[in-house]
Amino acid sequence: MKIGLETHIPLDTKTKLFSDEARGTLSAYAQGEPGTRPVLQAKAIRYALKLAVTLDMDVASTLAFDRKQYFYPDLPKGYQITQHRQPIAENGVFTTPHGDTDIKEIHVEEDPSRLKHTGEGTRVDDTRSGEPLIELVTTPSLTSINAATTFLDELATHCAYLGIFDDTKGFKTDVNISIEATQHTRVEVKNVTGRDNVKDALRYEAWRQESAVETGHAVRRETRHYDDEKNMTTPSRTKETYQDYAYIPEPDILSLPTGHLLEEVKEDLPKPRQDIIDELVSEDVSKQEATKIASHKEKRRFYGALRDDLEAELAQTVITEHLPHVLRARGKQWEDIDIKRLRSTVSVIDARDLPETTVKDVLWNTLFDDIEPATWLDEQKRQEPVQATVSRLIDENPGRVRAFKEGDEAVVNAFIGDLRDAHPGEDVSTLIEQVRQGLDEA
Amino acid sequence: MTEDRYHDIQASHQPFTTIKEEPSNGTGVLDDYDISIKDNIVYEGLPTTAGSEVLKGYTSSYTADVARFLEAEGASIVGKTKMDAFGFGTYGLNTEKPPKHPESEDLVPGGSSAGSAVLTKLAPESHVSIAVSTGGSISCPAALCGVIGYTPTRGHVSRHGLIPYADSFDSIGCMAKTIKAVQDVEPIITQNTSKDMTHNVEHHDHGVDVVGIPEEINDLAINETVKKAFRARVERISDAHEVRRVSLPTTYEHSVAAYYTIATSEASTNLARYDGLRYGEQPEPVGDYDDFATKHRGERFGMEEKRRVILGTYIRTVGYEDQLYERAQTARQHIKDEFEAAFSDVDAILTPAMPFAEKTISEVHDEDLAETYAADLLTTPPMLANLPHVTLPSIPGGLQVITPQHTDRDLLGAAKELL
Repeated sequence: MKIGLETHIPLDTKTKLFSDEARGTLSAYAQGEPGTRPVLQAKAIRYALKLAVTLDMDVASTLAFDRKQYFYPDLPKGYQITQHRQPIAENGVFTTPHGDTDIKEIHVEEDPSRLKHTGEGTRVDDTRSGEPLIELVTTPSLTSINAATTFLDELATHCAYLGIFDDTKGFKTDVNISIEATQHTRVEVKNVTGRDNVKDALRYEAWRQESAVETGHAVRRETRHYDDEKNMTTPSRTKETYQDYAYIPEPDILSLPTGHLLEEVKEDLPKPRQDIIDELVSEDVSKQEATKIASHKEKRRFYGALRDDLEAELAQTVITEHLPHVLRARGKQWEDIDIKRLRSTVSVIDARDLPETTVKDVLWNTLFDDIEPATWLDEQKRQEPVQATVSRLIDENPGRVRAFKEGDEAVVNAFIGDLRDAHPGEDVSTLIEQVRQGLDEA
Repeated sequence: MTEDRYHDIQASHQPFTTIKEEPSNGTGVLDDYDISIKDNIVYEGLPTTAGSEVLKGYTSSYTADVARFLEAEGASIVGKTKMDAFGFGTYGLNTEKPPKHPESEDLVPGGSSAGSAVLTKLAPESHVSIAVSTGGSISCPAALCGVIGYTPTRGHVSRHGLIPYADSFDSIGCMAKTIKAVQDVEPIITQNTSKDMTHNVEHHDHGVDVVGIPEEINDLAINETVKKAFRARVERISDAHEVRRVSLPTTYEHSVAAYYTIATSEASTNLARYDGLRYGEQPEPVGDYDDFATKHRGERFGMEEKRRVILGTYIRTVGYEDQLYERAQTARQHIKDEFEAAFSDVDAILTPAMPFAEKTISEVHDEDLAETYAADLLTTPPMLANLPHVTLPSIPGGLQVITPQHTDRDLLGAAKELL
């Protein structure tokens, strides 16, 4: 079996690719307002050069961009700016435990808008429009589904280690797969989101192609689409060729030399990952934890900031478990964390010797809000008796809980009545909050 | 209140799409100037149509660099001027209620910056009109209405806020009654910006002593009146300047074809965004996206917009195999090289701007397309080679003065003598 991947890597930059507005925001440029012009932001180019250097690629001496035009509501300008004629870098190698994979090219392009398909129709979200992506294209040199998913996992780790990858978003991949029995007739599956879907799409395609050969059906060279709900691939409606995209050189961007940036990037590369791991292990960090920290630019930075104040073990857990969890849950980025605030929060945690579960709660509730960790903890302590009563009442009244789950809101009031008897003088809004939380968890 | 005279001109010759009633309030070196801007340049809060139905109902959310620079120096922006839709036109007729030629209702004003030329001719000397050229949209109407038209080296004026026709050509310049007015405005509109990556302003010293006349002029399809007036003018100029012949054979053979190939390719990408989803009047939903966009574009685009979108799309798709676009780029490079070789021998090149001195609306209606496009024979060469040029109302059809890139200030100085 031969598998090739074209993976879109979302980049962890502050701004969009061609305007200085923050990612995730709307602007005249993001909405393609007539008269706006692309202004290339250097960060995404630095990121692509970092990746190119670490994959041992040939870097183009000048940057060139092209317009790729097609009609679809996800393009506010009616075209996407990408690199078609001259990608920023070509001919690299990426090594995984399955061996070397040849990288054909990487190029930089802007993300289109997001389309949200709902029951009532499709909505267009232009906030994503213009966010920077690197598209990495392998040769069809992966020989198993396992090798392909390992490749994506290792690539994600590598990009996080370089600090270029927005890991809240994940990869979007076009996969192509062919089997020997069809003389390697190439089938492409477009736009597969995430790594698990790539695995499922490849499994389905391999099975489909093998079954077709066994039953005497032809496997056509074609483009297919993966439906993750049905876990199957279906033929795409139209065939796309370079011709249909009708590229022309982007006339609003003059070609720029890469030499100067490339030199800067080379000087600024992080230490090899293995060196960082060894260093952490020598500080009594376990190998597994050390790998997690070394693999991620922000984790390295925050670990560095915490380890002087904290026991190594607590610092590790905060960095590798609690913070990733809290960031996901709160929809925040590493760069949103104020290091000073984190340090003071963590020192309160350390001083009070709190249990694991509470540590996460403290971070969740205080890291991004205007409340002191000590104050929050005191308030929690004060509410413990109420919580105990709520638990007791819920245990004693399974009928009410059932009624609540079936939508009977009056149950809340019944509990509040009982609670007020047990805790006269307690603030009613606190009681309601506790009851609702208790019922939700029951 | 904008002065009554602009309302009077609008009533008689309709050069404006919008008259701006609120005065601008900056002060500076342009305090004494009124400025009009072509309607493909955006101004916050004012409608921008670029002359097209497809942008009807669209109000810009921001102001173009060039308008901001002018207002900051005290210029008063009086309104926006009519144009052939998206700059697609030689005569100024491809738009709703086209502006009228200053001298006769029967004559075409020239395009695409038709409103700018008509208004400049009728307004006082303290008015300057900001116009835009892609293949001669400043020179042509300036020549046909008898005003001065200045097209800078592309890159000198920020194009932030300019609705593009073909970005590798589009250049913002101006029209005025006097060279002094152009010289007063030029340093302001060429200010630096961070909003257009192609902005690149340099000033190279360049005296204009020796002028060149392309030897091909004699054999080109140029109206006899224009040819004669041009020859007479060159005769007079030779009193004060050395005149030499230069040779630009590829230029005059391939300019029109190369221009339309590249410009329509770019235009067809620039017009792709007008699908009815995002700007202007929201059309009624109909069918799927393709149905919706097709209906909107089918109803709102005029004939010339459709023609150029289809031509450009053809070049980029079906013509991909034949490398039509690449071949036009090669021709463009040859044209640049020819001019560069010529400028090693002369300081400026003189040609007529238009192959005719005037044209009536009824003549235009009878004309075939190839003939219309051929009217750009003399204005496309400096646009292809990105050379600054000035068109002077010294002869019928206009006298076009072309100098090397980035010699704009010396070009304007020389134009004063040649006027």
